[in-house]
Amino acid sequence: MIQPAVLPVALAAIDVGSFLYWMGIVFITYSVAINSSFVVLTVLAMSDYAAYRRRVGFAAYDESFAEPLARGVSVLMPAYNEELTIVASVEAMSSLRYPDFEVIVIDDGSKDTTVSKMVAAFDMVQFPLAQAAMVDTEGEVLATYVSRRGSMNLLLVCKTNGGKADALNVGINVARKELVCMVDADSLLDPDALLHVSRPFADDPERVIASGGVVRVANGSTIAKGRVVKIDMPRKWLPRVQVVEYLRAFLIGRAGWSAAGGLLIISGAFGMFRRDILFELNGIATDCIGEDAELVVRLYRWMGDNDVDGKIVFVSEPVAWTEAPETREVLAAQRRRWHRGLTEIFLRHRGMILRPRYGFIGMVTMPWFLLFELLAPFLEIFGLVYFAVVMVLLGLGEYGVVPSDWVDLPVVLLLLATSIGFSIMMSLLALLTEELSYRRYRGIPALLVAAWAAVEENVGYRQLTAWWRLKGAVDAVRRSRHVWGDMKRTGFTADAPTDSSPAA
Amino acid sequence: MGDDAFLRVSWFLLVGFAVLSVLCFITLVLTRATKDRLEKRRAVRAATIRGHVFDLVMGEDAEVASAQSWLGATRGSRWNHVEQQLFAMLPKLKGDGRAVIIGVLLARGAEQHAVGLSRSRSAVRRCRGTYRLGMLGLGAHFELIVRLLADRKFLVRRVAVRALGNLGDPRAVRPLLVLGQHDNRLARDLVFALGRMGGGVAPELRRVLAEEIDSGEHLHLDPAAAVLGLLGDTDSVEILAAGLRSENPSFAGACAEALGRIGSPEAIPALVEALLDFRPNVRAAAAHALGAVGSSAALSNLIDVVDEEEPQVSRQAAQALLDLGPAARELLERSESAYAVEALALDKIRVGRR
Repeated sequence: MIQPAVLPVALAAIDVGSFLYWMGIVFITYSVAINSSFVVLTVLAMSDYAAYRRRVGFAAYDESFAEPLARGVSVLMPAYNEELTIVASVEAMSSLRYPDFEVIVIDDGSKDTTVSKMVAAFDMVQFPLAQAAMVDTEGEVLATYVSRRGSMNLLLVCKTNGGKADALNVGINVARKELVCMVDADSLLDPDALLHVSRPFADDPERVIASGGVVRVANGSTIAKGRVVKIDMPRKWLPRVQVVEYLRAFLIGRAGWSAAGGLLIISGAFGMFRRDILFELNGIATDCIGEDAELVVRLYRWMGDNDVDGKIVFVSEPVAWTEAPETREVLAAQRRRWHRGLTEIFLRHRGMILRPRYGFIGMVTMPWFLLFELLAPFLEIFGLVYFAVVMVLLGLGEYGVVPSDWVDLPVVLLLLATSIGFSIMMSLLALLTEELSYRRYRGIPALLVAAWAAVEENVGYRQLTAWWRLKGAVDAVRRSRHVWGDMKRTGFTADAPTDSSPAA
Repeated sequence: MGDDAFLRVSWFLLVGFAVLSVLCFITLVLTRATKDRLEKRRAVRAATIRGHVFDLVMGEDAEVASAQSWLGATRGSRWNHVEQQLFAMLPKLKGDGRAVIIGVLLARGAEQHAVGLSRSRSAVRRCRGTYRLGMLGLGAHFELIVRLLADRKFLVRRVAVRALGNLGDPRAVRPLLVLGQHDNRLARDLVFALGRMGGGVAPELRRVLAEEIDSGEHLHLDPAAAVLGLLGDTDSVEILAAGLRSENPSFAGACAEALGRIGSPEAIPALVEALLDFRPNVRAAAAHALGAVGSSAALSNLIDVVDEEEPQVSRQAAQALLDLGPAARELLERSESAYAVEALALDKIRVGRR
């Protein structure tokens, strides 16, 4: 990239007109490539939904509830200072529809009354829960409790603070069931979430090792007792835009990748894994920000290295809802964190890129993510700068300071309009996919809000997120040079970002 | 000029995106506006039909007569809705009610309709037709549904698997298991279908397992083992015990689970041997099965695995011992394994609660 200081020299030395022209060509090539790949993903995703719509009528979906192949699930809920919401979350979690599951809350050294609230609300008593030492952990387990209610399938593990990933690792060690489901304490699950996400494990027990589902934005909807009961669009602009962003990312991005056979990310807000495989992988990485995404990449790596014929499946049913940040500061921190996580993953697993051993993931998905996800904010910001420079040159051209044929304004505007037009169309297509498949939103006003969000995200929101993401990538590169893995662990709070990155 | 062509393409794309966006938006508004209304109307219609069906199935004589005349008078597209809903209600009905509805459907030509659908070019219609043939449960269409197992669309194959389950003809066992070997996403459906066929399929399942046990990797035979377990088929103990030694861990585990479900003491020696298997899932399933068989013959073997490194095995063994009477409990109390302590503590809490 050209340093700002050299720019004037460069401008003087070469034919500026043709430089701008070639830069324009670079942007166009990039955006044609990224957009055509989105079109492919959309086609794949939409054909997947068409198939879903067809099978709804006769697939006898409810029957897996009583089927013997349904395997036990341990739901792991790490919690840190969640006294306000923990009881409602656990109640909602315990009333999921599934034949055999337990809920394990792992308290990561909360400083508030999370533990005493739990103990009182669920009639819990201390008992010596056996812990396997299959996955390395840092925090020390202080006490374990079991609820005396029902089938005694609610556990509470209190440990010293070690961060979310460490809490999950402790959970993996104490889990008593074959499948492990990782859930953010603040995600709201659909009652059938476990049934949906565990289905691939029953369909193909020999191969499926992980599955994940769709995460949606809960803002604007009515929430009662830890459940989303009435779905509506948020009215504030940031959450409103994020609803459309999530729909696009999950309904088009993930569904498309999954249909192509190269799903890279399972959201931390809701993912299910085989516990024995997590043992093999030594659990979740504690020295990494996007630990949920890292886990999936590591799974692929493990499969490639050990020639395991495994499958990671995306379930397109909506299963989890998350509270999206409503303020710019929180959103900025979240996006920065996500992109930093993604960059770290690519730095760590760069050896997988373009290696045939890792199959479709190595040859297609990872290079795609590198070019069109990781580098996208750089291109976006660079494009913005380019546009600004063009505008300035245009002004200067008007006054005769520089030659006026350097910049062809109609062409620049045309390209800009085309790119915005494409992005609006993609968002509307995502809305249409939702409308034709799950139809969770009702009423014309909500639709108008969503359609407006598809338009307005192009002005301001996209540029802002690009900037935050760029900073995240820079953070990752800096960190990896100096204090790799030496992050300050502060646990996680309810308003801190959840790792449900809607990246495609 | 190249630039001109480029500009033309850009304009073309821009106009194309704009037109598509507008079309998308209009479709969105129209779908949302009409679907909400359609849904309400459909709900009213469904409630009416449901009312008549309930009258027909469990009403007084007068109600039955009125429901019959109402159903008899519906024609055309209205009948199509009724037909569709009747088929959707069938899986939830049992016994006489089910027979009554099937009688109504057959009298109105649902059989021919379903056969026609199952031969349609559209995969959705083929699914629908196959599903209906299964629901009607007419043995005459067995061959037709077996042919649909080879349909080029996965969804049709899946529906055909379940339809064969409803037919209950043991001749389906072999084609179903063969399909499972080629199509590895059907384990759940195969268990459903084979389980639904009932005890009649057990001999055929045993024969298939006996043929396969000495050869191959036993890929996708789990459903066969699982169903034998569900049926509680004591005659299959021997073949399932042989399956415990399969190279395929998933199949070996399924055999152990099945032996636990059958609960026959003859399986104990093989299960005890499986406690020493090198694959944890097999050991865990064997421990669980020994608990389910409920014999004290394997106490010392179980207490040995309570101390082993794999948590799921230790936990299953401790749990199994808990269910095996006072002698087993004594062994547990003497054990220093964390899993023994956990099992006893949980049991104490459970007892204290009562």
